Amino acid sequence: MYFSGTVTLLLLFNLILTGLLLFLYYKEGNSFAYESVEFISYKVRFGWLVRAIHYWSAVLLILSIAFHMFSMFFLRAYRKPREITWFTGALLLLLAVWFSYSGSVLPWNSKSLFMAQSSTEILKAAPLIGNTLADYLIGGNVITGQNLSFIYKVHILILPALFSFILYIHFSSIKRNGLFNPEIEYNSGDECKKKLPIYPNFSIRAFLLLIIVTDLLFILAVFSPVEIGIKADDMITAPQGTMPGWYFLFVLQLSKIIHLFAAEVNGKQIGITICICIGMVWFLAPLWDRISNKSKISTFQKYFGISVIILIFCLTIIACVADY
Amino acid sequence: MNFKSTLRLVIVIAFTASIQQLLYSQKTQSDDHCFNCHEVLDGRLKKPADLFKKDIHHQKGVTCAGCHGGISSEEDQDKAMDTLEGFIRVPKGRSINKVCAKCHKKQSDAFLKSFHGSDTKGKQPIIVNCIVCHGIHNIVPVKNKNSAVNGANIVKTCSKCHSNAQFMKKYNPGLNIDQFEKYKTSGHGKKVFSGDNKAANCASCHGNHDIKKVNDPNSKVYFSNVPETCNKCHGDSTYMKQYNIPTDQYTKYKGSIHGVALLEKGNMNAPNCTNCHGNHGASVPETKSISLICGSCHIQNSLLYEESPHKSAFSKEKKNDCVVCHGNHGISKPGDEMLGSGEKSVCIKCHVNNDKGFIAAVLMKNMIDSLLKEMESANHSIYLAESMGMDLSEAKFEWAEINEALMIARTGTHFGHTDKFVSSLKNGFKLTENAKVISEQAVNDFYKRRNWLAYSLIFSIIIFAALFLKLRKIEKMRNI
Repeated sequence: MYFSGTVTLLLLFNLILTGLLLFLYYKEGNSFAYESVEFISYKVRFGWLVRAIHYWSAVLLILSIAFHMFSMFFLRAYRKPREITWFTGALLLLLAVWFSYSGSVLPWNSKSLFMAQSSTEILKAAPLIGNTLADYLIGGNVITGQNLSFIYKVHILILPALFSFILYIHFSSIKRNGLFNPEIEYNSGDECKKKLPIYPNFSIRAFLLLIIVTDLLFILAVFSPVEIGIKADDMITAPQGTMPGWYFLFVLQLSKIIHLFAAEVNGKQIGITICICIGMVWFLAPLWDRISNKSKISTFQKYFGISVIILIFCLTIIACVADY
Repeated sequence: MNFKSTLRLVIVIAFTASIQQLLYSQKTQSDDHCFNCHEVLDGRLKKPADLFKKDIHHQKGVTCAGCHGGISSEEDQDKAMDTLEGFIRVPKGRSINKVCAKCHKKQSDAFLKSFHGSDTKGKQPIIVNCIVCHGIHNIVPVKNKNSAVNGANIVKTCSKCHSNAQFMKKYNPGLNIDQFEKYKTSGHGKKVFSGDNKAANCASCHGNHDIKKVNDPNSKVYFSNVPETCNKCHGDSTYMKQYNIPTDQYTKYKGSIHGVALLEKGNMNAPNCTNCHGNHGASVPETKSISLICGSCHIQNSLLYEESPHKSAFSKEKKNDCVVCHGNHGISKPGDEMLGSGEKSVCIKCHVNNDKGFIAAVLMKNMIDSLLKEMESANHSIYLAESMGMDLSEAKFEWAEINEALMIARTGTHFGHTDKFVSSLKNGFKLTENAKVISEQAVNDFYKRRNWLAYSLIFSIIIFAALFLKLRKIEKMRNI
């Protein structure tokens, strides 16, 4: 449990490092983006490796933040006085998804463009804020070669600045309130003495995690390299059935299931509305979880948390299998 | 009823009708005092009345007041030409249209929307009014041979402006002015000038009052509309009966590779009827060889054919060059199956078993088939390496050259001999082999990466194990 945050941090450092290396060669714009990615992958020494590690780090980052958040949810680490840590953590997850979404457009190949277009369509379906939100995310109504530059600048300037700021608040809050330790929080007496020293115990464990994560990234980079694809043409719209980014697959699958049972309703809109509602309940946990017993998780909370995880997991798997 | 009685009856009916027409004409003439006075005047004032005698409007009872306003039946000149009674004197410029539109509204509306008659960008239209084409005071029905817009006359009427370089310069300096000269040489022109009014004149293709610019998609002669326009006459078996020519050209063309490209895919580089037959000079191709017409687009094929043994053989048998293998209006997409000795082979139409041509055809087909097989295998290797994320830009470059070699070889079949064909196909085989080697090398590189990954994993597992043991030892010592 303690180490999910550490893994997240390791992946974040990885992303910054590989991102800086990619920044040296990447050129934004309709005429250069695809060619520069091709150059990075084929001509720059180990460019393919840096790109693949950047890609897989981003995927694992979202997963590790989500895992970190799920574990904190069940441990009820969001309770007073750690509400700020929880809220900033939730915001960091949303920003990581935004990072991944904007980064997926940058290679400017048709697959990534179609995927981003499909993700945008899901976002646009959100009631009231959908269209405005999509406009702010992509800098226009649709993704074209013209706003690729906007998306790139958001990816390398705005998002890192926002992420760093929120991460700073997140860490400040941890520093002020201390690391969450359920044994200290919920138990008393001798068990409290079993506090892990930072050096050498915690440091060596973190280093072992670093080795595992790095090995995993290398295995993924070699066995599943990021493809170059065909250069994107923004005049062509995404064909029917194009899948959005993997982090939106569960929303798409939910929409499809709704559409299956009620063909006359707007499945996408209802699907994203349900997801937003569930997300709001989840993220606002510190506000509603005030009355339950301090040491024991409530039945509602337990089943709600498990249901959400199963729902996201199963819907994503079904969508992947259906696509395959 | 015998012949004499019938003849008598016909004479009586004809006489009665003539008397009636005369009385009616006299009545209207006597009522049209403008006409009566102008007829007896001299010079400039008499001329309109003289011309008007033969005018269809005069014959149908339209008086001068019909166009000029006033009261024709009034004997007093001042009253007849009173502006309060609507007398407009001689209408000029655009106001003439308004006068004609009183009766001919449909034509006037169409004209005002046409390229000739519309006020574009606030400028005055090219043709200001109806009289430019139809004349004035001497207008006769279109079917009348003396009408300015009848059959052969309309061609001359149009050519007044369209063959006038000085005039056309003002509107479209780039437009040719030889349409009339070309038309005279065309199949249509020859028939029209020999008195056949059924043959196409300018209006048949371009329309009359509603003429649009050629590059206007609504124009009847817009590039992709031409086949349908030609088909209006050429597809009508009743209309074309007297000419004894087929009427299925459009049906065949629609299904041909050219027709599909132009009409379905909207490819404006594909030919329409005029590319082979000409437009104003349209006729059955008269070049010494059909290949010169096809060769205006298919240059390389035509050049090779001109040097091939087929050229002289077809000339001897008076066969139509390219048409022998490809057909004319219904040309289908050429494929490798046209070679060899299979069911769809065109070679076996003339070549018999094991003659020189037959052997060459089989050799060509077999060689192309084996290159295609090799290409498929190379393509698979490229795809495999590419899916592994390897750099295949060099192989892809080779791939483009392989396709070019295949294209040259396919073109080389028009030469008839196997020399040029074999040399370019050999190049294709060589390039395919290169592409395969490059992609296989890329696959090997990928496996090298995997090996290096395995070494680094072993190294990291050793470090991991050492650290893990050290950690356990420390924790045991400290009793954590």
